[in-house]
Amino acid sequence: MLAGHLFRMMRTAKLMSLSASNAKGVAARAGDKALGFRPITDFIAEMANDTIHYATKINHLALTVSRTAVNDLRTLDGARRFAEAREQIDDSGQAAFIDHLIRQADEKRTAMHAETAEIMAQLNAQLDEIHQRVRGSTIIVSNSRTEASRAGEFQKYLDSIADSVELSARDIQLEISKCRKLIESLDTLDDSSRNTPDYRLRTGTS
Amino acid sequence: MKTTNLYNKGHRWVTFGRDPKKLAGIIDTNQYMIIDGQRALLMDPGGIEIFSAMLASVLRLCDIDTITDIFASHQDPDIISSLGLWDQTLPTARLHSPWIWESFLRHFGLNHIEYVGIPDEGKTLALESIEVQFIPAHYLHASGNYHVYDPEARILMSGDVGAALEADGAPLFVEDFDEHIEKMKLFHQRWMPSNRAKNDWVKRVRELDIDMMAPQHGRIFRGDDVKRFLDWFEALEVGSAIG
Ligand SMILES: [Fe+2]
Ligand SMILES: [Fe+2]
Repeated sequence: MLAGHLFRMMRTAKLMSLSASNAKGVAARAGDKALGFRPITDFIAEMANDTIHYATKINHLALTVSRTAVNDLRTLDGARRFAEAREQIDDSGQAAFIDHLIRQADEKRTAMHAETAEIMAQLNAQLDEIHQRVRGSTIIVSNSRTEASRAGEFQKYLDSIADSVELSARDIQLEISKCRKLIESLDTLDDSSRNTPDYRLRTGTS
Repeated sequence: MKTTNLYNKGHRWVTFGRDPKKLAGIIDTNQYMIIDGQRALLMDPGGIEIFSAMLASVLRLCDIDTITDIFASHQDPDIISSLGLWDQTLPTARLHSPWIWESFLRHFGLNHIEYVGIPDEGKTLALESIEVQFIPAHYLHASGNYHVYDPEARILMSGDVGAALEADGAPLFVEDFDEHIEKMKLFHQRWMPSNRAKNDWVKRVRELDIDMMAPQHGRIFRGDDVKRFLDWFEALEVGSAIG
């Protein structure tokens, strides 16, 4: 799901980068009339590239998180099955061995949760980076409009480019907030499975 | 899970199965273990759903460190989908299984146990006092498949060959061979794909001295019923249950 949002984010960023190079072309043809437009197009191109870069990073991180989640479920399932075996064992020495297996699984899960929390923090930081950059585009868009108004017959092209950047920025922000919501919901899921390992309640192991 | 002794002279053969608590809808399986002094070989340890009962059962018989080796006749889930759990339980054990299934079996989660691929021609494994043979049974039914033969106890663990589909809680041994045929027929016709492989196997197994043939499903054949089975299986047309 996260991958879907990231994909749309990247697609929009690519569109943005295309708008930037179009704008560059128009600015070049407009010559002196669009001199002030060039740094703006550079800024847009950079913003688009950064968005793609961070979204790629997020994708990698998200993949690690989902792999760890599968591993975590596997380990939890193992701990439950070990506890089931323990219920059927009377010999205290053998029960101690199973307790050791359960503890081992527990420790592994604790380590995995810590790792996931760390990656989630990184993930949020990358989203922040994109958010900051895209927010900067509001100023750029208004600058673009001012510059466009000085570009004579090129005004309508440059205006339409400003429009498309504005639209793209809005789309990216939307995807960012969807990503954040998704990450938040993952976090709460994780908490609930962390706090009530029912296999422990059943067997009384610590 | 019921534990039954099959042989106990110097080393021991045990079978586990007929679990009254087994989930409905899961095919009943027979698991086997040889305990030879401080070495034990767990054979076709079964699916994930019976792991807990199996772990408890083996721990009633021996210490966990005794189980040094696991054997999986082929890659089916009812044979070895518990592998990921055994991997956490027996990190220093070795798994003997057809070489062709290694990269497939790793999907069950193999992080500690060492995979020892059995070559196509089979091989032997020395335990403490005895040596068992991994006898090729390719295409019966998996394309890489072995059975375990113990020349001392004269037991052949025959995987899916000799399997029967019957109601839960059926007796462990074949009592009336002719009556048993109906419970085996469809299974062999449908699950066994190759007459050539089957006849080749029958020829190979006829050379062995067998007191007991122990399949992974259904009942164990003893004495003359082993020969009766070989005759019946040789005559049966397999790979033919459709159309
Ligand atoms: Fe099978
Ligand atoms: Fe089977």
